[in-house]
Amino acid sequence: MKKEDLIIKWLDNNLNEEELRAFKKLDASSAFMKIDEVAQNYAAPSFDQDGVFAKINEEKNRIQKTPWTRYVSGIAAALVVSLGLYFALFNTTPNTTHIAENANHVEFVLPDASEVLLNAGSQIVYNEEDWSSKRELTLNGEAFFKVATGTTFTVATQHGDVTVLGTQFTVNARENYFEVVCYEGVVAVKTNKETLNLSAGNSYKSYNGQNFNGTVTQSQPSWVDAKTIFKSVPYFAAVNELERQYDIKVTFDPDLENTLFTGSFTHENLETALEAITIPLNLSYDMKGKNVVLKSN
Amino acid sequence: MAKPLFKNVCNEQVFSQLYKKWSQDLYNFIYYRYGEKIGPEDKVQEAFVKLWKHCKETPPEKAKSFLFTIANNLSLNDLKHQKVVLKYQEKKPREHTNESPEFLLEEKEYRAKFEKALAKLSDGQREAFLLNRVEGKRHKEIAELLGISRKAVEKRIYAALENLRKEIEEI
Repeated sequence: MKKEDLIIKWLDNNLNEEELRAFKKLDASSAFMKIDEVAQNYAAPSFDQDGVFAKINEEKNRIQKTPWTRYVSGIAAALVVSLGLYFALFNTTPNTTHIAENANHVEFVLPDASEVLLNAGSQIVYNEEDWSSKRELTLNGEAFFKVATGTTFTVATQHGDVTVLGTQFTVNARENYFEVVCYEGVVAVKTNKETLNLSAGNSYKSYNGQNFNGTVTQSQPSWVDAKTIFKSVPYFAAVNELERQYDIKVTFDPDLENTLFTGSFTHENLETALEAITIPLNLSYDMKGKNVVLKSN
Repeated sequence: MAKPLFKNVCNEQVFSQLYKKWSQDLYNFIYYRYGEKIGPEDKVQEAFVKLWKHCKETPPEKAKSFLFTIANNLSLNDLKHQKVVLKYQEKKPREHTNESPEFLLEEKEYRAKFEKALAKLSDGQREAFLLNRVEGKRHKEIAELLGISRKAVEKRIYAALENLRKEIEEI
């Protein structure tokens, strides 16, 4: 074993007897053991966990304010805004965040005139000041991009990065589901496993550790027109999307999670939408307020 | 489907669970990285208060990285190039010493060298090294805590050890 590996193994308290003998034969081993011995005396002092939590609770209660303090904090907020402006002019700007809550779509324009349409339950963060030098944003959820031509445009997600020059595409980065569809131009998808180029009319899907390539014929995502169309997606992805579009909670048989689903639902009528995703799988639904339970017939 | 029960952390129970789960690790993270002068307890407090203020936008599974990032940024703001000082604490207090004065003096000198060398390590090296040696965390656990690869952790710890040795021998 190499000397470095031996030492690293020792540092992980993971040497067997033979390796330990080899380690002790190293010139530096006594110096290492001395360092280790002395280091033990530099442990972090005990931390007053309960005391700090009490202080946090005090501050928390102050945040949930009464009407009177709200008035005062209004003035404080005005001060903060003017300070913020001051810093914006003379200092770095904070990140800009756009959020589309469930049952909402949000449309906005980036500093370079690229357009973004955020689907329900999604969020984008970027830095306006850095935008001219680096077109990069972080996406959690799903969005459709119409990118103005220019330098590389990067969408960073928890599953990997999608980069383009100037094109139209959607990225859907959910907790356990990742999908990129290219409508115009070429996009590069880089996950921690692979890198690939998608040309117009192609899609890439990844979930449960598996990847799928597909094609699309539309020129923009269906949800732009108030409906969602699925082509061979796992059933959980379809149900999650329904939950986000209508801000409801759906419970269903976990055995169906990975059943492939092809179909569509409208964003304009919940009952029609529910029928659209239950009838093909021979399910029926039961709705109480915002909770929906799907049952097999 | 592993779907989180709570979509954000604006719930007293979720919040106090998170505190129980992460406050000690967060405290150690700041202490070993920046030393005691930075006020690690205050940083833990501020980070959790910030988390509460931003609870609506933060799902529970993002809370840990939120806390570590905020506490780290708060510390960096305060750092102003001050030297990192870790407090020496006798591990087992001795009731009487039977060591010779020469030995004690040597020990004291060694300790001074050690502290100097420890302060010279990069923040990342010191933190990984002490979490490993003092807190007894396995390399894999440190990697998960810091959100870096195990290889990177091993590189840092190994570099820290080598740097300490060289620095102590040279002084």
